[in-house]
Amino acid sequence: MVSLIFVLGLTLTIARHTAAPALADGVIVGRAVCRGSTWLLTDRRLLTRWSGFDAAPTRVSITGLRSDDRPWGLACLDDGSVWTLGSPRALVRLDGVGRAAERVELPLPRTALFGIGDRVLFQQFPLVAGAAALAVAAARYPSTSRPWAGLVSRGESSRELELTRNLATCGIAFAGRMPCWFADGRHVSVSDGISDRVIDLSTTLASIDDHEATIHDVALAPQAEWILAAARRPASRQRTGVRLFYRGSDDEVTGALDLSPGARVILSADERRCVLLDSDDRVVEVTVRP
Amino acid sequence: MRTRMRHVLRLAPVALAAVFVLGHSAPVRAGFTCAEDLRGCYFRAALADTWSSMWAMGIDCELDFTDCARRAILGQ
Repeated sequence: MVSLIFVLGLTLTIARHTAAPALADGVIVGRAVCRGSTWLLTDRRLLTRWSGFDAAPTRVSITGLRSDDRPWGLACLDDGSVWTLGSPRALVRLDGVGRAAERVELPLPRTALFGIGDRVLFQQFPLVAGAAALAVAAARYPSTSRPWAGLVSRGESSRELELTRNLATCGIAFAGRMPCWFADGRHVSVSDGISDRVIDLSTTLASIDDHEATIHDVALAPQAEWILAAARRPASRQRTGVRLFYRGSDDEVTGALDLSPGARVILSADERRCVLLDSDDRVVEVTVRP
Repeated sequence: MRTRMRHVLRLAPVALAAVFVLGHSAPVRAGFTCAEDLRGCYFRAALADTWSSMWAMGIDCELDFTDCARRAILGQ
């Protein structure tokens, strides 16, 4: 059960929750939000669409991928098209029944995928320390790629450390701005592709009783941000979202809520509520009150 | 002598890869398995016949490592 622990001026409470065992069967490897729906892709090649508490989720199996494809990432664009990386060298469009309807071969491998407006946002390979970590392009035209202002790839003492520490991921965008961060980072870059602002979460994460607490998910909303922080549960190696933070228009954390069981991913958010999928496969709505 | 030299030259990339990888044994959050696979893959890549093949195989090694690491770290 989710419990209210933390109060920092605003109160976050559980408004409602509902069982949703079929929403994300397997490890979630992609999440995209567009046109009022949230899409989840799991490593079992299942694509689920969640459109709110009042509509039943729909789930389809992905078909038409190559046998050696290992899908990663999910992008939903303004035109409603849904894309994943079938492999680092192929961008695949999935149709409404989960069929791989289109395959765009990529000249340079990509290792992360998100959608922003009518373009795909991705991490290009090979990594180059000091260069932009992310880039954008039209889905069907890889050659239109250009750097995305914000995260900059970091150089490290070994290649494996460099690859690990430069794993970039992004949250839920709002008004053309996307929040992105490095997996082990404590800063979120909120960028429109041209310029960015940085949210320093060092102090926020330090409030969690785990010195390795990390950013698990971020959702932007009008004049608000929701931040899900992850930590390891005792007796478990698995990281899970253990605390949800709310930042209002004053750029300060003004509310927080401890989560038990932990949360896997943010499904949707606005300035007054945040909807999460928790580890018990329940959809949980958190609301903010003065 | 020439054959011996060729043999040494052929082993040079392997040795370089070994020094590069094993000389940096910093702990990796992705876990031991991903890192072990990367090291083994680098060794196999170092045995390629040409530098271009070695480079291409090295990229694939790093993509496999990235996939392994991200599923362990970022998978939700």
